[in-house]
Parts: sequence; C-alpha cells; structure tokens
Amino acid sequence: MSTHTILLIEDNPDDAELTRIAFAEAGIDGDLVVVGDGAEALDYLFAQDKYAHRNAADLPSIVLLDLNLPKIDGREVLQALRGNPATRGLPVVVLTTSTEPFDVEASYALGVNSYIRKPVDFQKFVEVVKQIGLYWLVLNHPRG
Amino acid sequence: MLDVPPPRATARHGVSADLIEQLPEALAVLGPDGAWRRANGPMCAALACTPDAIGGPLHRERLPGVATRIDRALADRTAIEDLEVPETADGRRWRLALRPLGDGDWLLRLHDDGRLRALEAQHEMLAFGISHELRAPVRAIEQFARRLLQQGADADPQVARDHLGRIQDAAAHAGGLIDALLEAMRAPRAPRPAAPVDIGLLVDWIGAELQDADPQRAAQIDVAPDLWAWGDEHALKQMLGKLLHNAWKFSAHRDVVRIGVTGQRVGRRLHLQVRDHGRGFDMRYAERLFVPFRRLHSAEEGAGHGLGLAIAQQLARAQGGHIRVESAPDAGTTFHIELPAVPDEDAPGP
Repeated sequence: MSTHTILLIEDNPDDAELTRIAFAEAGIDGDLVVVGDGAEALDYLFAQDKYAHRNAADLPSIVLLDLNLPKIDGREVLQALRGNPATRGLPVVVLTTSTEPFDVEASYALGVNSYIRKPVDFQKFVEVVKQIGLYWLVLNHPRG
Repeated sequence: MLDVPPPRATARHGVSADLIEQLPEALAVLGPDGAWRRANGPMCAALACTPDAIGGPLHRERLPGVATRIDRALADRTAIEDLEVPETADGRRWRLALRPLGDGDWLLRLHDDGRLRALEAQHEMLAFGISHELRAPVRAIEQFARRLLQQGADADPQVARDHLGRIQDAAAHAGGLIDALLEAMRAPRAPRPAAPVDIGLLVDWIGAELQDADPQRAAQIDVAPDLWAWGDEHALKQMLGKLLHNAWKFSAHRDVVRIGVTGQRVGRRLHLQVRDHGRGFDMRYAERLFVPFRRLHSAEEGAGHGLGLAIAQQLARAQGGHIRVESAPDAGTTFHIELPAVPDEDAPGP
C-alpha cells in the first residue's frame, strides 16, 4: 500500500466537492476521504463505532480540517488528536475562510501545522505540503 | 452609574418614594431591618411581584441566591457596589447594588446584565453569520460559475448541470440565511403586551403550514386541549414554529411524522412538552443546540441555517420563559418549554 490518504473533515458539501475537483485535476497521488463532522472524524481516526473495521494504525498522511463542524468542532478534534499518542504527530492543516479572524497563536498551541484558505486550491495545498515536509505526498511516486 | 441624591430634611420616605417611581431602573427602598418599604414599577416587573406584596424582606423570597449577602450588608452597614445575581429561572441575569440613603434606609438597584450580554452575543452571531456562514454559499457560487465559464462549450453536460444545480442551491441557501439572520436579530426585542394565547390553536395552525409546505408527507400532530400561555401570540407562534419545524425535519426518515404537544400548569407557569420520534441526538451535544450555527447534523441529515433553535430560545426568553431539551439518538427529542401562565383573574374559558 503506497497510496496516500488525505482526510478532509468538512461539513460543507460544496467545499468538499471543490477540494475534490482541485485534487483530481492536479492528478494527486492519493485518496481523498471526506467526513462531515467532528465526531465522525474522530471515529475514523481512532477506528471506532462506524469505522471499527478500520485498522487504527492506518492513519492518513495529512488531515485537512475545517474549524466549524457539526457535533464536535474543529478545535475539539485538534485537542483530541493532540491528546492521543497515536495521533499526536499527524500533520493537520486548518481550512480557514478569508474574513474570519483566526486565532493563530491559540491554534499553533494546539499543534496546527499550517493553514489554507478556502476554497482549497491545489497549488496552495502543494506549498503547504512542502512547507511541512510531506513532499512524497504530492510527488508522483511509483506505486509498489 | 446612577447617583441618587441623598434625601435631606424631608418627610421619611417622601422624596425617595417619588424619586424612584420616576426612574427607569429597577429600584427599591429597604429599611434597616431588610423590610421592603417601596419598590418601583421596573423592580416589581423584574421580581414578578405586585406593589401590595411589598412589606417584608422580599429579597429572601425573590433573590434567594444573594439574600444572605444582602442581609449581611445591612447588618454590617456596608454598601454592595456590584454583585452578580445567579441566573434566574426565566433566564435573566441581574447585577445588584445596595447603598445607604442617609436616613437609615437603603436603596437596592438591579440592572439587567443579560440584556447587554444578549446584545453582544447577537453582534457576534451576526458577524460570524456574515463572515463564515454567508461566505460559504457565495464562495460556492463564485467557484462553480468560474469553472463553468472556463470550460465553456467543452463542458460535460452532466457536470455543467451539477454545477448549475449547486449554484442554484447555494443562492437559495444564502437567501434563506439572510432571512434567518434578520429574524434572529429581531427575536430578542421587547415583546408586545401579553395576552392569553391558545397553544392548541397555534400548534394546529403551524401543523397546517408544515403539511402545506410538504404535502406528500404523512403526519400526525396531536395537541392536548386547553393549554393557555400568557404572552405575545405572534412571538409564541414563531417560537413553536421553530420547534415543530425542527421535529418535522428530523422525522423525515420515518414513514409518518408523529409530534405530540402536552402541557401542565404549574403555579404561575405553563410547562409544555413538544415530543417527536425523529433522529434525536446524543445529549453530550445538548449545550450546542441553542447556540447559533452550532449544528448537530450535516446538511444531508437535514441541517438548515443553524439558527432555528437559537431563535426559539431567544423568543422564549423574551417572553419570560425558556426551553430545554431531552433527547436520545433514534428515540426522538422532547423540548420542554416553560412560559408564564395566564394570571388567575384573566383565565379564559367559561
């Protein structure tokens, strides 16, 4: 398995579709998995409830996280990920909207690796991926 | 800050009595022993008491959370500059001050902290609603329209139709959101004069509207007879409308929408229950329910603008009531609404 998974945690179906299109057109080497709320995101990542069949060790290469989510919001998702040794090191990129005043320091304290403004543009995504050192995710590695 | 000039050589209670009646704030004059000598109109309204009930140490009954503190201040002859009163059953948050009047009496003042906080919260809601919630559909319209223009004649007809559909939905969502934001801004306004309101009539009326908007759906809405609240009919219909719409929406996966409305008079209050058999939710998320834009469901599960229940709670509070919720996933949701009941002498019926 060399296919990389990108987990997109996004409740807005239009934003999820725009991200999917951007990545598909860029020919990104990876699967985009979309979950619609914070509770489902945690279930996915910790392989519990609906995702109990998943292997918990099989984590995505990168998580794209919207902050305003149904049930458990993005900040709480971040806290849960950082509070668990298994997911502490997971690269998390927060999705922001252009006018939202965003508490940068507070989020860095929670271990956000970077930010991307919505709509998620593939070029921006590549820059962020480079910045946090995940070159292999976007470079076209041969699948083995 | 209000400065009351100390009464000088005047008849006891004379000046202060006239003076406090003229002032818009909730004020009362207490004797050195804590007995209430006089309370002005706003104070009587705040504590839901009639002027003829004034006489004893009313704070022990009506402000139990801070009564000991008041009695101690009176005994020690020390003023209270600013004291937070625990939130009352009707959701009001008062701040209290107690100062000597110079003739042995004390002036007690309440001001409504909740009103300012409600305004601040509303401001925040509006800013968030515009910057985040309204930006989402605008972004979708812009992006999907841009893609359509770029592809021009080469566009796959099926993709083009998908994008046009998304643009249309996003525009409709934005329009609905603007209406909801305006409604939320108006909800906490001071209510119109109270009158007896027939809850059964409102439920039947709202039920007919819901059925009208969704004629294919089989629905059964039962309401117990003879439920009367004391308030503004328009605001109460709006509030019940939000709750019933919510129940309807989250029962969409059932063969039949079943909603029951029951109630009891408890003293001077009317307790109502609006019960559905819809999706329900995990009570862990209950505190999010009445907060603007904090949804419990995704768009696919029926989430709307994220304002309905926040508006309902604001409306209930503006009527001197409040709403709480009880729910379990797949078992359904019950909203418990507490409202002022019709005062005895105005009780309708034969």
